[in-house]
Amino acid sequence: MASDDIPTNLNDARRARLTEALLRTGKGDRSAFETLYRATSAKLFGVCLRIFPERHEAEEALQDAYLTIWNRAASFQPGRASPISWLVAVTRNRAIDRLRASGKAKFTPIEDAGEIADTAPRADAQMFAASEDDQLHGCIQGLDGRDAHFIRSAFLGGATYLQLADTERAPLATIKSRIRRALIKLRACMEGEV
Amino acid sequence: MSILSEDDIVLAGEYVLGLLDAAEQATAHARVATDSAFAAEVDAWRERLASMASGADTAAPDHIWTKIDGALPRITGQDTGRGKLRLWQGLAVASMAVAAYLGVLLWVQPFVPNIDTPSPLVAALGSENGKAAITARYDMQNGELLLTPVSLDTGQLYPELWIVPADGKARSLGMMAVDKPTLVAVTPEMREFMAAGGTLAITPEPEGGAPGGTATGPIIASGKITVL
Repeated sequence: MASDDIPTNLNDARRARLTEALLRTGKGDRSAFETLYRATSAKLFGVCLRIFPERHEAEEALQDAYLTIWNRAASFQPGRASPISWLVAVTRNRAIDRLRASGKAKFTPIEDAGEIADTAPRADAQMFAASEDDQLHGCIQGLDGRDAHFIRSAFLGGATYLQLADTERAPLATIKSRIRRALIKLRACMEGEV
Repeated sequence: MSILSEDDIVLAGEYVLGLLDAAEQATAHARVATDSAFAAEVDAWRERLASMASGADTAAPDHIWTKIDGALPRITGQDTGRGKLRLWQGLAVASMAVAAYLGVLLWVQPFVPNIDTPSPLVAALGSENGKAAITARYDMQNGELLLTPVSLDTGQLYPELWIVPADGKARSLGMMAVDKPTLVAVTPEMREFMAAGGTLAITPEPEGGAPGGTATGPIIASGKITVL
């Protein structure tokens, strides 16, 4: 259908433009870097704000992220990753490094995070719903609420297995095996295997 | 490409989420570089999880770009978007002419020939525009590299020295002074790269050196290592 082709083509064109800007940035081209910044900073600022709700901290994280992008752009391989997921990964990783280094990372035990019921999503689950794309959101919803909480604590809060086990006062092996099972389930869901 | 086991697939997810301890994380990181199937699964997990990190798009305040732009290394006249590799190669050729001029300077440095010790390695580092000139002299016996800046200006930044051996990959040898000779103790793992045919190069970098060990500035001087 023609109406389906249009957004796909727009996405392809956007992806091609970002790939080009990122590759040229990797060769030290400042004007390409500025183009990249103009096209992606709103999205990446959104990422920083997820990890640092304090606006000024998010701004510093964003600055740090773009300097890291400038330094690492040469390692971007267009055949491997989409430019936007590469940029999000670099931004998220730098922000999590900052969060961990600041000692401000804190993890909420599941008991304090509100009642988890499949039929009544928590307020923060609804917030996630607004930002996660339908597929990821649908698949996360399909997980046990506790497992979804662990995965989000790791990705957006920088929690490791050890810290999760500590916060939950649960044996490390127990936490590991349930998150591993959840990851297998999540992947199967996203790959359309279930 | 190998077929990944379920454990490997989960490991790639754990790595992207950052759940592992430092040692496991480092091991997985190393595997990304050597195992293409594992690397592809890591990329797939990044794609799967990317939208979890995305909040609502929010316009960043204007001063952020000003700060980012101001933090980039200042580049004069070389910011043409040329490939870094071509820059390395071009300057190596350009430095030949400078070497001819600096050869004189290399000779006048105190040097007592000793039949029992191998000849030292030397390099004359120069720039295309002739503005930078540095002599380098390497003693293979004790791994000491003496750098003498004849003319060197990195503005508000600091000069970092790199060795580029045959594989073309630049490795940092540390920082040097702009206005006086610097004696660099080349670390044991770097000594294998200090050989005739390699290229020494200098880039302007922030205080303390290039973040992440990758040069951020343009090459402002370079020269081939030769046997004196």
